Order: sequence, then C-alpha cells, then structure tokens
Amino acid sequence: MQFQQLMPVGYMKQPTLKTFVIAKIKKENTEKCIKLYKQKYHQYFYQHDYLKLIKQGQEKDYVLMLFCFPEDLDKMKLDFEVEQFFEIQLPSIAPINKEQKQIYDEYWNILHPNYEYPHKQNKDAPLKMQQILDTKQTRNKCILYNDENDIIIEAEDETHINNVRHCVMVAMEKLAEHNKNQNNQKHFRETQYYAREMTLVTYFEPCIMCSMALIHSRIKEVYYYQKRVVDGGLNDQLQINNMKQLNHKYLVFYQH
Amino acid sequence: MELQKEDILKYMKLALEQAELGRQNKEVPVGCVIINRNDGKIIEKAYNNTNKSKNATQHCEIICINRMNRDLEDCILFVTCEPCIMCAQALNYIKIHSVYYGCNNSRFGGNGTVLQLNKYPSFGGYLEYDCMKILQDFYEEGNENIEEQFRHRKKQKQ
Repeated sequence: MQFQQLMPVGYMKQPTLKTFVIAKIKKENTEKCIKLYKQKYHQYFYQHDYLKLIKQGQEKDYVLMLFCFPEDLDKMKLDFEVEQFFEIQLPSIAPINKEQKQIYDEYWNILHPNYEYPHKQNKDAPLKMQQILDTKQTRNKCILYNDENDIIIEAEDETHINNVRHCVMVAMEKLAEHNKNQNNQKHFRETQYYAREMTLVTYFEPCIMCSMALIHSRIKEVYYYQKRVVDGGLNDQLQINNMKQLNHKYLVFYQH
Repeated sequence: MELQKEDILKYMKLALEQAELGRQNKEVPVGCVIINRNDGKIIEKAYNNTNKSKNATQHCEIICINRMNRDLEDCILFVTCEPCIMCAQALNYIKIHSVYYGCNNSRFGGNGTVLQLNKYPSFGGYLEYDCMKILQDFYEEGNENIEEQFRHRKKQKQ
C-alpha cells in the first residue's frame, strides 16, 4: 500500500514570484542604513521573514538591501542615502526543505527552513492499515504505536457515550492510563510529552478537534485512508499540522 | 433568564476560583463553570488536569463534557481563557448555547484569534486583567512539572 504525503499549500519546485524593490548602497553606509531601517520599518517584511535583508552585490564596493514593495517606494525613500533603486522578482513563499532552498538561493539569500519534510515513510503503517481494513466494523478505528512496537494501543469511536469521544481522544486516554502505570513509566520519562515519537494509523481523516489534540500530544506521523466530507483538519484546504502559529508540526500521509 | 453584567462577572469569579485551585495543584491555571440557562444553577466546574493525568487533551472544557455525557443545548460556559482550537470544535459538537471568556489565547485560540471555528455566540474580555495575570504569574515561576532544560521561562534581569 502506497501513501501520498500531504504537503504545505503552494509547494512546488519552481517558486511563485513577486516584485520587490531593492536598494544599492555603498559599503561604508551599510550599518547605518540597517540600523535606520530596522528602527523605522522592522515589521515591514513580517510575511516574508525567510528573506535575508542584505546581499553582496556583483560590484565590490556596493551592497544590495531588500527595501520595500513597489507601491510604497515614494513614501519610504526620503530618509535613506541610496545610490539606485531597481525592481527584481523574488520567491513569495518560504522554502520547506533543503532542495527547495538551493533553488531559491539563486534568487536571494534565504534563511534555512526550520522544519523539513522527509520523504521517508513508516514501514509498519501499511500492515496496520490492512489490519484496520480487515476488521470490517462500521465505527472508525485507530492504532497508535511507537517505533520499537512495545506500546500498541487500539481504540474505537465511542460517540454513543457523548459526541466528543472520537477514536483519537479515546486513544489518548488509553495512552495516559498506560503511562500512569508504574511499570511502564520508562517511555514517559524519556520523552516528557505524551505521544512524542509515536505514529497514528486511522481509517477516517482526523477532524479539526482530533488534529489539534494530536498537536497537544506532540505526535510524529499520521496515516489515514479516507477523507472526511466536513470538519476534516488534515486536507488541502485546512492543514492544522502545518500551521505557522502553532507550536508543533507533524507529517501526514493519506491514501486517496 | 436574562444574563446581566453582574451575573456574568459573578460566574467569571467562580471560574477564576477554579483556576486558582488548578495553580495550587501545579496545573496550568485555567478554570471553567457551566450553568443552566433557564435557572442559573451551576451544573459543573473544573480546572485543567493535563499534568496529573498525563493526558494533554484533559483541558477543563473536555473534562466537563466527559463528566456530563450529554448535549448542552441549555447550558452556558464561563471560562477564564479563550477555548483552544480543540475545545472550540468540541463545544460545536455538543451544541453549547453560548460561551463567555476572559483573556484571549494568542497561541491556540479557536474563537477568532488563530481560527474562527465557533458556530455558537461567544463573548470575550470579562475580567481580562485577572485572567491574564494568573497565567503570567504561573509562567514566570516556570512550569514545575517540566524538567529544567525544557522550561520556557523569562531570563531574569541582572
């Protein structure tokens, strides 16, 4: 069974481009200009924070500085001692892995991406998925396990008790009971957060609530077989696992 | 029953008491109270229990839902901090009537800060300063349940 990886929005090899204005500065003035610029406009490029501010020009005595968008040039150019302004095309989305960063580097100096998307897949995942498919139950089911296979937790939907007990939430409760047990505390002490370095395999895509619960539990990888019609949290439209504001990211693989 | 502003503040203070109880138990100080919409009686109250239960999904809203095991169409929730994305969606599933909260949750807020998920009416900004203060005090001391190297703590000024 082959899985497809869920990639962030706008992921492709060649970047989409956007027009920026660049200033050509004498090398002696560089520090002065940077100081003044950061004082006045330090949040200006907050959406493009992967671009470095300074690049060495082709001529020795000059330095190139990222300045602004074309529409703001008339307002902003007054206070700076600048030789020349000109427009260039730069990537408009941050790179997500090393290969993509190398392509981007031809355009401008790029910061190293802080999270990478390896193409490696878990060996056991297809087996566990087949195990779920073989049970032929109408309720959604999930399996949570770690790499050494010494913790394996199976859980089912319990929505007859209340609407919030989806299989992921039930699995987290079972994992907590496992960790509370004195004999099994080794795993918990080592990794501190509750499902770190663990993998989840489930039939239906986790909903928004479950995908956030997985972020709270610091999971590593998620595999699912079928997409949800409504309230799915890990599809092309809403990718909770890749959101910039949240404090954890994980890998998602899917079948269809 | 029509909720007046004094009533809301009264219930928010009860939620703050729960948060204070949580802090005494070395949990993240967030607390909540659920009342009946018709007669104003308190049905359930809880505080976060993530560290003691070793389960990161045990936020106070989820604990209340799991204790009650029914739909809450006739209930109002008061909570000190804006519900996170997980709790906001869970409150959608159990069809809660409305939600009142204290401070915004700039990291995970699901009622408008990070995502706007709520299908129920929700109102923020009650006792905002007190709710924020109790969280700030907790994080300045540092979360004692986490080992020293993993703590997010402000560096002390010299």
